[in-house]
Amino acid sequence: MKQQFNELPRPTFKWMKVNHQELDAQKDVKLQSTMMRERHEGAAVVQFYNGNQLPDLGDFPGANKEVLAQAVKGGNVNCKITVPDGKKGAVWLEYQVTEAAPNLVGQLYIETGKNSDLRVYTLFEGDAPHGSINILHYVAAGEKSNVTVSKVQVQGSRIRHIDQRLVKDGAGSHVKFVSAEIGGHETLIYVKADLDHDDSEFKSQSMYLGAGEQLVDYSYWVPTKGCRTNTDILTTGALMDRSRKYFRGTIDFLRGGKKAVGSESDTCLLLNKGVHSISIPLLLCKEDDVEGNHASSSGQVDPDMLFYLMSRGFSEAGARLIIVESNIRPVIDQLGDDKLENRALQAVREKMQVCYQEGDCHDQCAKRFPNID
Amino acid sequence: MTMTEDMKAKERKLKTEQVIDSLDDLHNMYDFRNDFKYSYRTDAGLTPDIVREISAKKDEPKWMLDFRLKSLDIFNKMPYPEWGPDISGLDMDNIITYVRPNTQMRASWDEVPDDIKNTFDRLGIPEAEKKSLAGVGAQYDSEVVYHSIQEDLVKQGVIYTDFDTALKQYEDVVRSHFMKLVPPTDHKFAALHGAVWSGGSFVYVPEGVDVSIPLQSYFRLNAPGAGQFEHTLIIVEKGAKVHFIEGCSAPKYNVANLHAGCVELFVGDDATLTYSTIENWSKNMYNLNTKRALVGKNGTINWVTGSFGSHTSCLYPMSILNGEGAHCEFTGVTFAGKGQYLDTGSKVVHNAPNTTSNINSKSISKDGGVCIYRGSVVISEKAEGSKATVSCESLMLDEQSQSDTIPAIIIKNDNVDLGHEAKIGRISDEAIFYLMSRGLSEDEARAMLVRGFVDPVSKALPLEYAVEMNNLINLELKGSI
Repeated sequence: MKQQFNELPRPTFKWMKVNHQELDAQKDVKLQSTMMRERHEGAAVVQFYNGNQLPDLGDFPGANKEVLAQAVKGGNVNCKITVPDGKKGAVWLEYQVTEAAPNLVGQLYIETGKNSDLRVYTLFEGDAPHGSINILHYVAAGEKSNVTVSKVQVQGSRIRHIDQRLVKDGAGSHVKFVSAEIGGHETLIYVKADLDHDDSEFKSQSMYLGAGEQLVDYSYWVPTKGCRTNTDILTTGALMDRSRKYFRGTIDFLRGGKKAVGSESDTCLLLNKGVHSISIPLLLCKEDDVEGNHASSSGQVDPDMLFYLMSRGFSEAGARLIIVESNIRPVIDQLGDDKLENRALQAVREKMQVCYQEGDCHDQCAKRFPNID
Repeated sequence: MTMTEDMKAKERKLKTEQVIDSLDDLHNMYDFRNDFKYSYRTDAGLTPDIVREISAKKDEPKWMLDFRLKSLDIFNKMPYPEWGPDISGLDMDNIITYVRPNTQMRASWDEVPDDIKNTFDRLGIPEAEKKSLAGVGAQYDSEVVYHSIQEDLVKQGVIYTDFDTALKQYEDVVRSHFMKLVPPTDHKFAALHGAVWSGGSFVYVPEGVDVSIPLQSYFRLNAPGAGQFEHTLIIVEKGAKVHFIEGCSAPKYNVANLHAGCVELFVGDDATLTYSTIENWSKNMYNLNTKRALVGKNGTINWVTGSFGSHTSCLYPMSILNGEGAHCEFTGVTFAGKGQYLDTGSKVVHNAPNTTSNINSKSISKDGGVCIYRGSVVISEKAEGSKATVSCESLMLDEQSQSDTIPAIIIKNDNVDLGHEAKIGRISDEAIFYLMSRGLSEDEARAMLVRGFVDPVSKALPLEYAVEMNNLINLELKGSI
């Protein structure tokens, strides 16, 4: 049976078949109890729980009804992170899929107090036959608080990775997601950020690297009701083999949200024949006093750039890696944690079959990027 | 003598009043109506008997009647599109699908009945023909009432005639091309068109012929509650070149009218076709038109469109770049005012190596008008080395209006270069301030900036049509200047 995921809030021509993603429904999602590795610093409070602790999700559609219901019910990796008014904290969480616990379902409920600052670092690893992840982020940002969620996903090639995110802003709050989506078989990201309050900001910076038959599907919907809000969405990455990338970005300027600024950008490097890059960046505008921009670009690796690098002694594969890295590095650099950054870069290199298969190149790259293991 | 500020202000006021007076004249130019006279019309609604009646009245070959009936069947089975604007105000049971005016097709203006002739005189059609057109077709309701073409083009083998004549005189050509690019199965209104089409133009430009002066067809819908379903078929053979201009207008009634025409353009290898349209339908019109071009090797299709009138429009000219090196250029402006929902855009399919396309779309919305840019670019596996750029800009003139951009880009080939950008916003306060500091009133500054915004489209049109488009923009801006 097929299921529809990541539906566009405003459909376009039906014949293009881009209004949603259609995938086989996943069978046998059995939840085994599992322990997550967690570490925290500062004033952050971390609590694991069973069942549902999330408030009403309103009109949040999620990646689809079924997977949203599954996450709302609560699963085996539910976690709540809070930080009190005026305090700072940081939390590291590791989600590990194993054959003993192939399916992870959970809520990541983040609630920040007024003028607080919270950083959450998540790492998704592991593989298992019919393995899956379904995480529902609920971010309730307090007034003038800063929330940054950094994520590196380097799961095995048998995983369906579903990441649903709902952001509720506070006045003057800043919420930022930085993600590196490198692994998994099917990666579905569904984001809704309600910018209801004045001066709030939502940023999402994401990189991907598709290979084999991988699918990466991003869907963003940001309704902006507050005045002087700021939305900035960026996805950038590269596709190899027969991999596919979908980008559905919708910035929705609602009436009354004056002086709102929104931009979305989608950049894709196409590394060989057989890849599919689909981009549907929407700007919906009911308010005149706003500024909305979107841009997307797709293309091959610039042959002149490749020639230049190869003339400096890099192999073709090494030169391609450098060009891809130059594209994704701005996102990786924002992850904000050395270990996560190195993990992401290492996974990119392994995936591009550079470094570990070609010793010389690895040595050269290791000199250029000394913080690689 | 130097002018005082007071004198300057008086002069500006006078100038503004003159502009408004001229706009009233312009408005009258389009929004007038003749008495509803006809020699024959079908009942409202859509039945197999009505379709048979239309076909019989036109004395069509059996294959065309069969085609119509098959299309009607498809229409009845097909759902209304769900992705676009609300068209629930359109009741097909109340639309008259065929209205024959009280005249036959003429080759001389003198023979056209006075009331119809006067209509086209007021729209400036004969005047335009004298000045700058190589051929003119004029359709009134469901039938073409006048067609002419310059003798020297006829000698070169150019055919420009109404579609009924083409069906009789060039039946084989029509049969092999008719609704091949837009099959009735494409969507509900393509099926409707297949069932009840009437009128339209047929253009054939033989290999290597350069028709240096434009051809124009003008469509006027006068009957209240009627539909206009003209079919335009243009075949430009290898290395040939032509510019075809289409104009449309209708008086306003308090019942819905429907325009569901179909345009099929076949552009041969190395050929160039420029298709310009200024659509200015009345505000009770549902404009659900379909336009499609198939372009051969190194051929070029240029679309230049200005969409102004109508209650609701769904119009996305499509270019299928089927030959290596084929090129598409789309330049369009859409202006939606009060009560209007204009859902327009452009579709391009890159289906051969080294094809290129540039889409440049601009929209303006005011007084609660809704402008949607809905476009698509598909680069298929076969389109190695293709390049595409899409640029859409939307300008909102007030806080009641709405402007959305819904572009979709599908790339299935690694060797491509695609850039897309879009902007939505309003006229910057700084720009208005700057112009006001140079002595313009706020409204004048605003109007000047709007004209500057659509300038790339005006420049792509022949002078007479650029003037018409600018006048239409002034008309839409009336109240602001």
